[in-house]
Amino acid sequence: MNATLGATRDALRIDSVTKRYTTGDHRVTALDGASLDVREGTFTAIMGPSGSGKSTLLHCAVGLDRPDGGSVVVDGTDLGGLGERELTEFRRERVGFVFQSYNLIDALTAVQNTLLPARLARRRLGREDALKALEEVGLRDRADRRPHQLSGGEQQRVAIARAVLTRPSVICADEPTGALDLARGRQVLDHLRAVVDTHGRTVLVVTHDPTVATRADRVVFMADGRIVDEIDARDGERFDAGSIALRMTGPEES
Amino acid sequence: MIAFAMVRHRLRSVLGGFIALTLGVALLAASAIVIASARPTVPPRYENASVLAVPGEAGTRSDDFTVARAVWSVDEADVLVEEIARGDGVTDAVAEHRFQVQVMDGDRILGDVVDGDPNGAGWSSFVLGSTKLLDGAGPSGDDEVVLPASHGRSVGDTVDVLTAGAEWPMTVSGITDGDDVLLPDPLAEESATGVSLIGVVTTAGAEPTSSGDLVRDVVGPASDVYTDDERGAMESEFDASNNWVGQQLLVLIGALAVFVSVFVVGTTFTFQVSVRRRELALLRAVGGTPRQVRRMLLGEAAVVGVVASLVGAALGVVGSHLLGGWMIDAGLLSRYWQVRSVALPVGASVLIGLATAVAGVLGASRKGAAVRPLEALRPEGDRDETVPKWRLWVTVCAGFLGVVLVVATTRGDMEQAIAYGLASSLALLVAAAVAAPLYLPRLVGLLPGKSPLTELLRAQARTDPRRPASTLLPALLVSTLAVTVLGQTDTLAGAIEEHSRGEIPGDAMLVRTDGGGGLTDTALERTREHADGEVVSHLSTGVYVDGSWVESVGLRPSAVPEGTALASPATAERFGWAEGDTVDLTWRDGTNGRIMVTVEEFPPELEMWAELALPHDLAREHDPATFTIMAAFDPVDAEALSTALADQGVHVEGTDRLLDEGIATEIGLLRLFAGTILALSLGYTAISLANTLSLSTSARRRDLALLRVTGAHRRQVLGLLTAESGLISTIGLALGASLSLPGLYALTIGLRDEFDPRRGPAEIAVLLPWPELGLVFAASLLIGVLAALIPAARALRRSPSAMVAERE
Repeated sequence: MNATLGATRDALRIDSVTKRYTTGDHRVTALDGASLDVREGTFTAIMGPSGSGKSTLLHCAVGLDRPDGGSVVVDGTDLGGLGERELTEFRRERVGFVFQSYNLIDALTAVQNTLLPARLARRRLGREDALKALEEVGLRDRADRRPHQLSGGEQQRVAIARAVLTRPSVICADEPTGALDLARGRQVLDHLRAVVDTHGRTVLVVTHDPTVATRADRVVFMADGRIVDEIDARDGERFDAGSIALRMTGPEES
Repeated sequence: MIAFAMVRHRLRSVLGGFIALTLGVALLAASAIVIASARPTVPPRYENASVLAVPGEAGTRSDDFTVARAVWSVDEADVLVEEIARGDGVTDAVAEHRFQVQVMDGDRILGDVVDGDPNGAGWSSFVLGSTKLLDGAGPSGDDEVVLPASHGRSVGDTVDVLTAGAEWPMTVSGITDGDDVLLPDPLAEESATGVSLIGVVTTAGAEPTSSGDLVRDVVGPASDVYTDDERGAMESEFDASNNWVGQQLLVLIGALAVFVSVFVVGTTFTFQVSVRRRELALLRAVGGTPRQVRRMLLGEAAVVGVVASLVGAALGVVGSHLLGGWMIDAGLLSRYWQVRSVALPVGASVLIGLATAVAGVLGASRKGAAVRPLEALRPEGDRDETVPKWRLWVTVCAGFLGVVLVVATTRGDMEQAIAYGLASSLALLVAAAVAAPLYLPRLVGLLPGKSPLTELLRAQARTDPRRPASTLLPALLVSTLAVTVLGQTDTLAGAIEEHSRGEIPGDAMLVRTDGGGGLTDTALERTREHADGEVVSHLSTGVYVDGSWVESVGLRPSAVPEGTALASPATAERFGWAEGDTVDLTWRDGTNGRIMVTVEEFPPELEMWAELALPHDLAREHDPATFTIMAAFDPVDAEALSTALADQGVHVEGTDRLLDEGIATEIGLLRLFAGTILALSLGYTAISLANTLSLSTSARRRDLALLRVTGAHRRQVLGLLTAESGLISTIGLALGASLSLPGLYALTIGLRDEFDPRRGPAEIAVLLPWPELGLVFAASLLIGVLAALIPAARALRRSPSAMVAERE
């Protein structure tokens, strides 16, 4: 409700984060001093070519991966100071996820999958809450189906329902529409947008699809492990797929 | 709840572990029930006696196991019984006269062969038992007998009653539901060898403890007195009919069931975890702590464990009746056995089953908890390819234990050598199984050939050694067990065949027609008339020197001069006797005497068991109750002799054939053991192989699909899987076979001194039954290939694109 009114606080502060991987003989620098602040109640898209470090940034931002240097503060909590167990608990309380695919556990029904993080956290949330969350993504009637009985888009929407159920501060999505066709992808984006507009949550999406980015409030561009450019809808810049695509080719060429 | 949903969903993949555990618990429960129910009982013939007194222990028989007790002479016993009978509350005190007996109807033997105690007794013993008189009455004259109903006679029929030294035509005066042939007391007294038991029946109100004390005071501290109160002690003393071999078999089955269940359940769950990495990673990503993941996996194991254990326990209860019945038929269990104790053995088996499931999953759950959340995002997470330390440790420890056991095998006696040999193979098996991910890729890497498929095989074994390792294990298990068990059996059988044929004089022997043991003196005499030369016979008896048992033989004919005893050098040394000494001893019937001894080396067939040899007639004089155990001779006309001996229940048989039969019986028992173990392990292997391979194939559907997309024919893919499964099974079989060899060679060394010592250490060779082994190997190879092909063929039925599109 108060999405725009309270949009002054930072839900996420990433400060000069570095991350290196060693694969085989050669080392890869995935993040090279990336910094990014995300205001609460906004929809941010991270774009960039493959290998620019956008997924790694997302993983570091929400505690799925640990950076080698720099700091990540989510909703006032510095992730660097958390142990493995605390980090896990932080994730399930404060962060929601939607992956590109393989989001759901096959053994569980849609409603059970939705409830899973709450149950792991021993929150007092029941079937009714999960059904409500599923209703918001239009899947109440599919609540008792198992993942293989759902389409790819429906599975992504269940993942969104799961991500918002515990009312986390940040919801992250890594190519949420990457495996979907256009119409289904749009539906999924509508629901993500609604998470921001009606629930005032903060959403962070990694994508390389400019049309996805047009639904965001702000688009940041990455290259070689750093944030190199950004467009903010509220700064009055041109915010359509074409100009975003144009801006994206900039860093790619450089 | 999550664990529950997971188990339900993955029913198929936990099925292997489930079935293995169910079977394991069923076998364990059945064995445990049979063992628990096989605890001794007071045989019906003594059930009515509240106090039983027996003379003190005097040593053990030549089997080093059966207790030999002292004996009361008839006069001593009469004094004791008279005194006991005067006590308060005593209604009957009976000095039991027990002896071997055989009842004939002309040439027909009546009744079945009875193991355990001899079944002839005086009518006075009837009151000691719970046995009921079904018809007629006790013997009223010297020529009346009471028979068990199993003899199939009725009151008024006439029969011939044979004891070792006498034969009486008698009339049946009564029929009982028991096992004993009851003679008039004067005849029984004359047929028995002293008194070995005094039974006391008390009035209903009498305190068992005070009656026991009364009897104890009378018989003195040297004797043992058992009362109702000490039912356990009483039971174990008076039930000699339980077969030790049967118990060993049961313990072996139980132990093997546990070993194999842990093995199979452990592999199943460990493999499960590696198949489910992504799912576990997803759980971690959405907020499951490592502890929660571990708990969930343990919970799953508990669900499987509880259900499998309960189903197994139910099957075990049913199975125990079958197993018990089968063992009674095979002569491995007392006739009196029945299912008596269920709750405790079943409870213990269920607990062990649960513990097995949890133990099996413990390592797997640790591994599962260590899965990192990011692995959910990668199709094949970058796995830790370093070898965990515990694998090295377990390999080294188990390997070391195996070597120690191999050494122990070379030092032990026959039974120890067999047990240690088996244990050493199992220890080496554990080492080989745990280390499999270390050496398997290298072994597969040796595979020649440059086709893309063999290259793929090598590459896959290198990148994910745990998968082929878990398919290796069942083949490894079955081959180790098969080669060890069958190898031991054949090696032992060969050794027995070659080295344990005694030198028995003469071409023929007398045998009881009904398969029982024991020859009457009449039969011996008639044989002597029909034999060409001497009849060598053995009467197994004993004497007491300074109160301790000396296993003795009554010999015919002139091997021992009349009025002397022949001592082996070892016996002479034991008692400090010299050639020509006259020594004091107590005869088998409790009377005292003196005899002159000569010291001489015994022939081998006697040296195995006898310490002292007496002339037959002297032995018979003091031991009228015991049949002669062997008679060997050269027959003049075997058929005529057999006809002449028919009314004694014996006939003539060729010595060679008898030896063959004896050895065959001994080997048959070994084979029974081997067969049981092998059948069990093959069954387990089939289950576990089918399970692992079907899991592994469904986990690789995507790989298979990619192979199809990149242009492999369906047949090529199936060929690849066949080659892989065949190769790994072959490696497992070969490896298992070679793991068994140290134990087998050690066994041949351990057995060297187990046979006739005068011929020096026996030369024993390792014998392997190639046809049987070939069959076992072929069966497990076939199971392995089918288990890989069937699920793959099902998966490959779909088009390549559908397979790729399919979600994992």
